[in-house]
Amino acid sequence: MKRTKVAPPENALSPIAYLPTAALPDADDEALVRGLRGGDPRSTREAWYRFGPTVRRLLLRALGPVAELEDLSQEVFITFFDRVRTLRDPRTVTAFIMSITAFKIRHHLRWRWVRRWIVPSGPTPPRDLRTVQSDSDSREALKRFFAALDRLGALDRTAFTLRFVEELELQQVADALGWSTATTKRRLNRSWKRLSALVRDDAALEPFLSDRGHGPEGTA
Amino acid sequence: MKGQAEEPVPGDERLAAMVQLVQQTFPDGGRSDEGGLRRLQQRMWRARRRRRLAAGTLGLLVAAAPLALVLFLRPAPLTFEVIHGAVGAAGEVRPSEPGTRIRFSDGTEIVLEGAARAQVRDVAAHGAGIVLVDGRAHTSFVPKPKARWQVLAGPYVVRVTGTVFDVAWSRDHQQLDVWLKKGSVVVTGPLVEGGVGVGRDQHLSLRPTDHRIVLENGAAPPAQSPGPEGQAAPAVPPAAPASERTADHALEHAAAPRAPEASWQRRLAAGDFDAVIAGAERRGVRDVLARGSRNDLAALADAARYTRRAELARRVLLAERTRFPDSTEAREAGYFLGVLAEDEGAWREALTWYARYRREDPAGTYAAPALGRTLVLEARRQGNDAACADAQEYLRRFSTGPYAPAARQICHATGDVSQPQP
Repeated sequence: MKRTKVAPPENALSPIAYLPTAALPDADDEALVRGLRGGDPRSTREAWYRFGPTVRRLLLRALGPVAELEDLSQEVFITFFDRVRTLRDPRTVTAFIMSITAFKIRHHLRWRWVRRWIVPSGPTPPRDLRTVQSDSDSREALKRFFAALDRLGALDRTAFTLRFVEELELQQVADALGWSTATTKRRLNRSWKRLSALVRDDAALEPFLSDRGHGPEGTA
Repeated sequence: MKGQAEEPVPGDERLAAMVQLVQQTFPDGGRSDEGGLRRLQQRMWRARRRRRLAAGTLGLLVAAAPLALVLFLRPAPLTFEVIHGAVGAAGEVRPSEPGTRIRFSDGTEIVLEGAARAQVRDVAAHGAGIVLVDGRAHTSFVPKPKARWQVLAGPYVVRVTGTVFDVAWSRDHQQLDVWLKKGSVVVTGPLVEGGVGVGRDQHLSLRPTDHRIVLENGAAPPAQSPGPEGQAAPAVPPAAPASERTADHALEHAAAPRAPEASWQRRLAAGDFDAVIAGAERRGVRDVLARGSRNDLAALADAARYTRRAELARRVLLAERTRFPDSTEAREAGYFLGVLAEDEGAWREALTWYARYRREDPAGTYAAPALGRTLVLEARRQGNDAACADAQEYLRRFSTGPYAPAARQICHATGDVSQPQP
């Protein structure tokens, strides 16, 4: 897509000012970051529209349709706008916001784990999956799969989502989590094996997997 | 889908199918909308406001910490109780039976004799004001650093450090009597505007109505409150000339050597006026006048005035005015030079100094007596008409001051019936 550079106005206002100004759909990432750093409200809007879908998709895939999704999404953007001045290379802004999202996912998972121990009623139940999945076998499979994911640690689960669901490169996952490549590879391998075992041993997944041609081991 | 792990294990396809299900169920995050952006902006605004509020609160706490420390360390005001009596809302003491005592938390005690009436006011951490409305009181003030006690009797102020003395004020006869048993006090008021020091075992009697001042040694207080004629103090001819005031003055001071490091201010506060003067003489008065500190000069001037060494006092006061022209002490020195001149009968010079003091410090400590002495001297020198303007000004500014009766008399004599009423 063709993008043009747009310099921020000299008398840039606060980034939190809500003004009905036009967005900058054609600005490249570099110009967008410059605008954000200069306090251009149009850049705030453009960042929201440009990165919002990516952030929400990553949150959904990592956590499922949880009630706190919008809150988490907004927290990602608040952190992003606060820290965008620290970004050294504006061309890596997408990776930057992905790493912030990964951090929020880890934070949310840890907070949920702590809450499960403190509040006897357990975590907030997920939203009704009927709004996102019409097939009942698939809905049940999703519930079982997210339950299996819950048994991973916050870091391993985040790494698994980034690498296998979001399909980021190994190096991108390592950068987002602040790990070395070797550590990332080792932990991903461990997570994969553990989840494989959990899926294999979960009889409740059979109806869904049989439909997809993945019956019980040795029958496919 | 990308290669999962380095070593695929059985069940890989099943897990891959689950991952694929997640990807298909959540293909994207949906479009961003305007409502979400607005909520985000509101949230950011609130977060920023909270941060600013927290920073402001922290700044305020940091700024207020020294003040809180000062308040915390500040000594609490004294408290007092009244024995054999009650205390009113304004601090007035109402005796219920003879022997009424006012006892302060620092140990200071005031015993009211007979039907004496008093009031306690301006109670602070280091002292208070005792207003002796009428009658006689035995006082015992505990000496403490920074102690600031005052006994107010009619127009007179008795400044106290650590002292035991009896004081009597007759409202009917306008007479003040002070019997010192221990320590020293300085009394200021009509006839003694510049202040007169009273030392141990001395008796000071002041009656401004007939210009009588008595300062005598060794007079014990009478068993009963002194009347205008029956007091223990010897009779002094009315309206004695100012120059005779020191006839009976003989301050008695301990001959014990003082620590050389004791400051003159401290010696002055202890009533050791002679020690201050002796110290100045040892050092060389000329040297003190040329190089002494402002505090030393002020102490020496006071000591010289209290012991009636007029010439020395004049030299020190003039040195104060020359060396520290912008100081309060220099301005007040002008007033005291007027008092010294008046004592010596140099009325014109006295009037010049009073006028200078009033010009230099119109709201100063001695503004009222300077104006009062001016109107009295003007009336004596040039008659009531010449003093009328000053009398009117006095009544306007100090309608209840000690010179108010004289001012009214002058106004009345000149036919000015429009003078302010108290």
